[in-house]
Amino acid sequence: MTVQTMIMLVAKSFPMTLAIFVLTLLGSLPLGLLVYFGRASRFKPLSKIVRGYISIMRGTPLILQLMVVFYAPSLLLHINVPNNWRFAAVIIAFIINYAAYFCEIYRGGIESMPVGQYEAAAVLGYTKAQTFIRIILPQVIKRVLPSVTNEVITLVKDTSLASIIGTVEMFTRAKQIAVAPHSPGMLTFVVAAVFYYIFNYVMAFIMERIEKKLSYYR
Amino acid sequence: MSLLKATDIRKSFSGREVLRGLDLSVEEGEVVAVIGPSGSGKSTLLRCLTGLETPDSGTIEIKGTTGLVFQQFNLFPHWSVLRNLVDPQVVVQKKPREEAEKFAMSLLARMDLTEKADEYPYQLSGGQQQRVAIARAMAMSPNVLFFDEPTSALDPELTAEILKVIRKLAEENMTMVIVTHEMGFARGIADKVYFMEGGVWLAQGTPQQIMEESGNERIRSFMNLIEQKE
Ligand SMILES: Nc1ncnc2c1ncn2[C@@H]1O[C@H](COP(=O)(O)OP(=O)(O)OP(=O)(O)O)[C@@H](O)[C@H]1O
Ligand SMILES: [Mg+2]
Repeated sequence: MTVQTMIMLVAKSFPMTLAIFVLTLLGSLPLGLLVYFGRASRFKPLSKIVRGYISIMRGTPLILQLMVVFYAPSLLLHINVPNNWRFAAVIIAFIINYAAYFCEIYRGGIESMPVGQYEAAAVLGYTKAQTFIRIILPQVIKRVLPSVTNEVITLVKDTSLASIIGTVEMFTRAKQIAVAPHSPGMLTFVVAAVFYYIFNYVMAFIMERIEKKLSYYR
Repeated sequence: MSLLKATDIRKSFSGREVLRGLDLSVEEGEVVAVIGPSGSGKSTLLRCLTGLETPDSGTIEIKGTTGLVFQQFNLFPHWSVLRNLVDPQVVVQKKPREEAEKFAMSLLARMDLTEKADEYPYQLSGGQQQRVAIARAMAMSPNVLFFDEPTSALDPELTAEILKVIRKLAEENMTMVIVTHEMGFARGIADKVYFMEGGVWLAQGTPQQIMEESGNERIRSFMNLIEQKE
């Protein structure tokens, strides 16, 4: 196998890595906010359950959560899982894991908002929903953006964990190539590392642009 | 006729009664100054009258709407000065945007802030921010405007700037209730002065009655204390 072929093969597995990344963010960024509302709910049982969920998500390895989501339905619950369950399991596991982290990030941002913003809005006659959407949320987004960037960068690397249940994303593919006969061997991992690095470089650049866009006020 | 009539307002926080049966009535066009030592309950009263707190008991009748100007301005930092004035009109009052913008610009002109319309609050001085906050409150055309120590976060020059604006509003017959430590200002502008201590009115009357002729020991010593600071 030539080096060129190897690079081609690694590149071909990149869309899977990208898909896990994009779908996880699309799911977990909004879900994190929903989780926050659950956590902040005055209905105690709900808030307790949500806290328990967050605690488990943050307190156990993601790689283990991936295995539980993938295997539990068939092995524990004896459900006949669909053919594409492997991919669905990856996305579900990633989304519920990252939503827990995003919830805590949002919570920090929302709780750091000065109470005067709520009071000014209330006196002007904004409803609670209007206050949150028009006044609180935009400011919270700006406040939490650096923490969200951290998570985004971690997620790029975490996508490789999907390998544990046999998802053929970039890391799995690199492993397969590296051990194949007459392959460039370890060089494959170097190439995969470069792919991850460039991916992260682009993401960091995009996040920085968004942060700049929101720096029009203090 | 009274524009505002509050009767026997009581409010407790965790078992401690902060407002202990307050009456207040404000006539249309009247300017009322509320003074008194720190912690006596002045802010709590304003918060009850503007709906930020619910009194435990008592009645509040207000003919029309209220506005409140805060010590800390509380402008919305992510919006331009103009949008701070326009958005509540459009979203809360459902005014057409064009009309809201026209009214906002006329208010900014009155506050001498026309050229600041497109700037953001952080770009303004404290005095300018407070003038924007006053304009924002006025944008909702309130029938009564409340001020909670509007100059306490400002240095003396900027304080004068704000007091001038409030005086102008008084000349335009705006009905106002002003919590302030600026005694000279209160004396000059108020039709009535209320002195609060421990959640009750210790005295009420014309500025002259309260500030100069009061025989009450507490009020006298409070006045002396304030004058020393000034
Ligand atoms: N939300 C609250 N929870 C508990 N206690 C409160 C709350 N708001 C006010 N208090 C208490 O009520 C009392 C009156 O407070 P308030 O802010 O009304 O006083 P004030 O006259 O405005 O004082 P200052 O001149 O310092 O602004 C204080 O002892 C304060 O600690
Ligand atoms: Mg106060």
